[in-house]
Amino acid sequence: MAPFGLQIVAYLFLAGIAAGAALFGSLALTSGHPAAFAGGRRAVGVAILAALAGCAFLILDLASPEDFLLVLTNANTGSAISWGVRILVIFTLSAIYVWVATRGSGGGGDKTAPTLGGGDTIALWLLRAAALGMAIYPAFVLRQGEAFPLWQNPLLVPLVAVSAFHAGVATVSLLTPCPDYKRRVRPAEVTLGIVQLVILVGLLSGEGASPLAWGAIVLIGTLVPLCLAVAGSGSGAAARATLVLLGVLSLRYWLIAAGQTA
Amino acid sequence: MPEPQRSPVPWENVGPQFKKPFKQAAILVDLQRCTGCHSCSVSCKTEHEVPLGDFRMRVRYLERPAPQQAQLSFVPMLCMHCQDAPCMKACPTSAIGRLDDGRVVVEEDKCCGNKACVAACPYGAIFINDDTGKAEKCDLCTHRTEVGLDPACVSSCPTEALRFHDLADESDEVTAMARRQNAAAWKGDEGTAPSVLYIDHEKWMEDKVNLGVQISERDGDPIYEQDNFDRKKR
Repeated sequence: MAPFGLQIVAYLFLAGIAAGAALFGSLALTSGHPAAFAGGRRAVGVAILAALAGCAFLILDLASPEDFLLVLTNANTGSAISWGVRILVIFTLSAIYVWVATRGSGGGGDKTAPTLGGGDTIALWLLRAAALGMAIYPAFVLRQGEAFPLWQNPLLVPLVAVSAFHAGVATVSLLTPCPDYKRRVRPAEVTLGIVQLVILVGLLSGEGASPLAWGAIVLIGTLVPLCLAVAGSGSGAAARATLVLLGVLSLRYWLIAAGQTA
Repeated sequence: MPEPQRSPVPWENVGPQFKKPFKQAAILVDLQRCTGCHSCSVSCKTEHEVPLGDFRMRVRYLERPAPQQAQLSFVPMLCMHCQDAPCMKACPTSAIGRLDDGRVVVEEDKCCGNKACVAACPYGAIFINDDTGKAEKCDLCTHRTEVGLDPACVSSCPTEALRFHDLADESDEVTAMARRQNAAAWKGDEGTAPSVLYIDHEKWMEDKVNLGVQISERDGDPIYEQDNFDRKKR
């Protein structure tokens, strides 16, 4: 019996986007540039929407909201899902707090970015920590599936995290185009693309992945957008980001589908 | 407290006074005795009203490797009641717990049906009941054993291939037999310390057990019982 289905694929994909967008956005909020501040706030908004949508898929998979409450009210410290659901709640609450606290700041052609208060800074750091947790914990959920050899591969932890950040950055650049692309977004896209490519080649060659997986995840979803990012400018950002998102979605699908047939 | 007088008729020795306190409830499976008659899986399904297509216990038919491939081995598979159970660790709501006698049970009220236990079990012993949305697995018939009866599968086995015993009690004659006959754990290298042990266990069986018997062939490729079963479910 394959325990995890398409709802879990969707949840993993959206949770990754949320984590990446929140981390990217929280860094932009403290970069000191008013344009980056506004973009950072929009990224946090994207993270909230992605986390809520992911949560809806999780509840759909569990069949009822009561079951989701059961996970919240009955903890098991040994369970990655138990930790993950708590991280999801902390993440969403701190993201909403940051988004509300920065409302009305950084707009109107300000010369300098607003500075955040003490409480806001604590919430921002909490959001960053929760975003890291959100990016990494799905790999540990899969690792607890001891019935499935693919999920025991140690490369899964860095790959799930890096692809989450990659998807987050891609979503933000797709929805909120950055005027200063080369300086602000490109280094992140190139670095994440290279790291993701290296880990993917290691994992897929070790696991004997199908040509379709290589084509969708590595070629179309990682290599092509990486080449475009290295060579290109701010134009074509939408196509590049769409390819990255397709690649990360294909990766999540492959992890769940191929993982459970091994 | 004096031992209650036991009757030679098994079903008269029923009641809490006949309950033997176990430290580690277990089942010993003797593969030399199993004839693949499915009495155990049928009685289990009846006892627990297991839905169509799901099993708390099932008997696998395995074709032996060459040169004895004409012979079949029969392997009853059930929850191994691991002493280091991966399902217990994976369950986010602590719905899977251990009773005082070591058996691993699902507490239905706390189960959220998220299938983490299904993914964690290396033996494929847990399933989600589509009617209730909750995880289900063998509990060694708690309702029967607490009144002194054997689990349904053990009671119904015509060849005594299944025996209920206390794995932690060295004086238990079944435990002694398990030691004498080098009974081994299924996937013993997983580190889960199963309580269910198998006499005449052979390593090749572990690789083939998820396939079942070859029932057909298509384009030169064998089709196994389990392939067919999974296809039907999908």
